[in-house]
Amino acid sequence: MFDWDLSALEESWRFLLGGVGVTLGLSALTVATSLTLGIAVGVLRCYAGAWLRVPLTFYVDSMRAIPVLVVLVWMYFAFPLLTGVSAGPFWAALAALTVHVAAYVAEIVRAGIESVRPGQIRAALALGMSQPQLVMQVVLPQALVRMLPAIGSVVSVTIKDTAIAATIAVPEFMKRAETVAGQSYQPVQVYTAALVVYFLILFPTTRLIDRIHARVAHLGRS
Amino acid sequence: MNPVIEYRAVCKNYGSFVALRDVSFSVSKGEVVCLIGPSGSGKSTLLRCTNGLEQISGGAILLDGAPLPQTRAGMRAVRQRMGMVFQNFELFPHRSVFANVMMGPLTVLRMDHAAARARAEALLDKVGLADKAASMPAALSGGQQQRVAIARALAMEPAVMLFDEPTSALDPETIGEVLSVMKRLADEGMTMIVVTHEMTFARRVADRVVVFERGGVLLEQGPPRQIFDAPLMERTRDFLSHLDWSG
Repeated sequence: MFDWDLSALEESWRFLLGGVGVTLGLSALTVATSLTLGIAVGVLRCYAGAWLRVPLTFYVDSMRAIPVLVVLVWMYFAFPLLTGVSAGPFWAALAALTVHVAAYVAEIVRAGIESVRPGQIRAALALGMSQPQLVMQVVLPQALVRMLPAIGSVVSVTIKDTAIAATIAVPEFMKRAETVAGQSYQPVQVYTAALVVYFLILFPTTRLIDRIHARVAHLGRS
Repeated sequence: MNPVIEYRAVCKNYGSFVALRDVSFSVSKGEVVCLIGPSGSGKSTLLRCTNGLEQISGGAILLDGAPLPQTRAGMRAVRQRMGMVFQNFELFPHRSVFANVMMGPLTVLRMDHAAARARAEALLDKVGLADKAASMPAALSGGQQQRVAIARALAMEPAVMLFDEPTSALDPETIGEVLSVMKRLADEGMTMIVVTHEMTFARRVADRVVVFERGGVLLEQGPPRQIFDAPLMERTRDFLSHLDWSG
């Protein structure tokens, strides 16, 4: 019978909780920046001229072809050497996760925009709206509502992916769990706690997004 | 009287498919013109060309004597003077009835909120839906949605109203309420071009009926009495006789 000695968790819970704070902070920032960048890229891929669409397509395709861990490591180790700009592991993680996740968001946004009925666009044009007006007032609001379930998946993957920031020593939850597990020789207890903590963060998050979608779905039905 | 809209030998092709072939007629101020004919005869295409949702391939469409502009900004200005009502209503589902009607004045005309509000209130009252202002479109019946769509188009105070089969997607019991609103609009002197399969409406409300046949050809035109009771063309008679179910 395994001895569930919880002394390491009892001793280090403040340290671990601080890591949860870093994880939540990194997650929230990454979600905010990658949604912003992803929506912009998705909209521009639909409406911009070819001179912009082509490089954006290349960006999206390459981000889907490169593991996020590789982007992260490159951003932390290679980017500062190439540019002379070094902002520390937290910001490197934020940048890497953002450019990666935004590519997926952009694809979702593009699919959402393309799913809006042509009749809606004709109706907006017939009122005399300009292209930017019809995108902002008619297409995007409906597309965003329809995208919500897919965005929800991306948000939960993003929160989970912040754990790889541990590899560049961002003091987030996973990194601190590794530290505590290593020092206390109690990996079973600590890593089990890690499972539970991630579940407790993510399960309500995905449920919340589903419930929001259930409430607003009718706004995107045309 | 000078025509508000004039079609001069309008042609429209999609690749090798001919949607409109040399269509010429004009619409005077205050006139109600109904376009009838079998599906695929180019009536809706002509309507979409009229406000530039489609580009014509040949000929010309004149608004108040001037050809439709080629620039985007010019076309936007033209569209602001033409209201359009669609078969599937196309209300904006994410906005309330009230917001739908205010959308044009607020966004396109940049009218101030109070004025747009007053205009929307008056128009919803006019189409008999003042009590539905706060509803979302999805909560309305088809007939109610179409009346809101008419109010939304009227909110731009257009010179011409284009109706693209406005009752084709409606349940039979709600068709009447939409046609009544359109009749009232006609009685007030609105210039209207109506693509319709409602022959009773065409007979009672139209000043002129234009008959199209497959291939986008204008077959004949005339006052409803002539078209329905004594058509000049055999094929008009054929088309009209096919509308009646004779078992």
